[in-house]
Amino acid sequence: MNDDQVKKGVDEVFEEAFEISPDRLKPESKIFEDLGLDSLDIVDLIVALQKKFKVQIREDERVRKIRTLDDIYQFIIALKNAGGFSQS
Amino acid sequence: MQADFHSRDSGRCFLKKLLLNLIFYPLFVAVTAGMFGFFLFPLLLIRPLIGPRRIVRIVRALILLYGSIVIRVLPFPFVRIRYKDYEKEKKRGACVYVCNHRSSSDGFLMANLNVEAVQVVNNWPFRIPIIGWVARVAGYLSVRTMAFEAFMKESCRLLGEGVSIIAFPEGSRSTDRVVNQFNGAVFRVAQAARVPVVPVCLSGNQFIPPKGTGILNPGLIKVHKLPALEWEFYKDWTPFKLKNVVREIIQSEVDTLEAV
Repeated sequence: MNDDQVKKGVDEVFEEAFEISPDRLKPESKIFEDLGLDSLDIVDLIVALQKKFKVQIREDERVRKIRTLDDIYQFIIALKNAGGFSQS
Repeated sequence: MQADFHSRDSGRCFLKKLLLNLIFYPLFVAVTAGMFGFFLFPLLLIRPLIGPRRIVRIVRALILLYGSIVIRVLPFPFVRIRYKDYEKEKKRGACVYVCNHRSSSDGFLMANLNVEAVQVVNNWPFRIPIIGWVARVAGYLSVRTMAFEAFMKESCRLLGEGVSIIAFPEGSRSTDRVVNQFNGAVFRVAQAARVPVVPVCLSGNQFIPPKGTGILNPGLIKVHKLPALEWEFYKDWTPFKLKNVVREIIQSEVDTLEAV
């Protein structure tokens, strides 16, 4: 899975789990202010990302620093590069 | 000639504003102290005789009365309230009322709903002398200090007892016509308790008083209780979708009411 596929997969999570239209999903979109997620939605987001990419996401410093959609792309890409994962 | 009209008009406006603030605040302090001294304090003294549950219900009824006096009587005729209920004929049980947040007067304006309810508030209202203490007795929920699980449990218990929940999920006041993003906690409560969600739209009180000041301006406040979203209607939605649909409904009403 290359970086573009990861980004596409993250976008799909937002589209499926939150019904956010693709035109709103820009790398610079702020997760709270622009996309309207709150702290409880973040839990749902993490569950959906774990399911999509079959990874374990633990709350650490990197997760707390996430602000934009691009931050999520980079976080998942870093997870992939660190340990690798498979997509069903 | 025109400049003369303008200066006379602004002079009249200033005089109204001055009168409103000079009359309102002393009366507000007097009514608050009076409600506490004549009703609430004696009630607490006889608490062991009539039981905690009845006490809480009476306190909530007194809050309704107090709120109505503060918003309808004290600022009259400088501030007027126009309340519109889109479901006038319908009798409802406990609901989750969701309201946009415009001013520090929002909480008082909820007296218009005329239901036994508990408000979800930040910490600061609890710090106001008398009002904060009464809010605690009435069981108001502090969203900042409670863990979500505790908030959910307590809210569901209240709804189960027939007590409605009133929330301002924007968290902080919007400074313009745009309704801020919503926090979804109260929508998750509504889904879990299977109760209707009732959008409430406030308009006009963003200047009564404006953010960052306690100075009241004369004006008209509109409180619109919009049609409820029944649980059967939204039960298959995610909490994210529910909160955004309700936000859009309120935003649309604000746009209509404040269209230039």
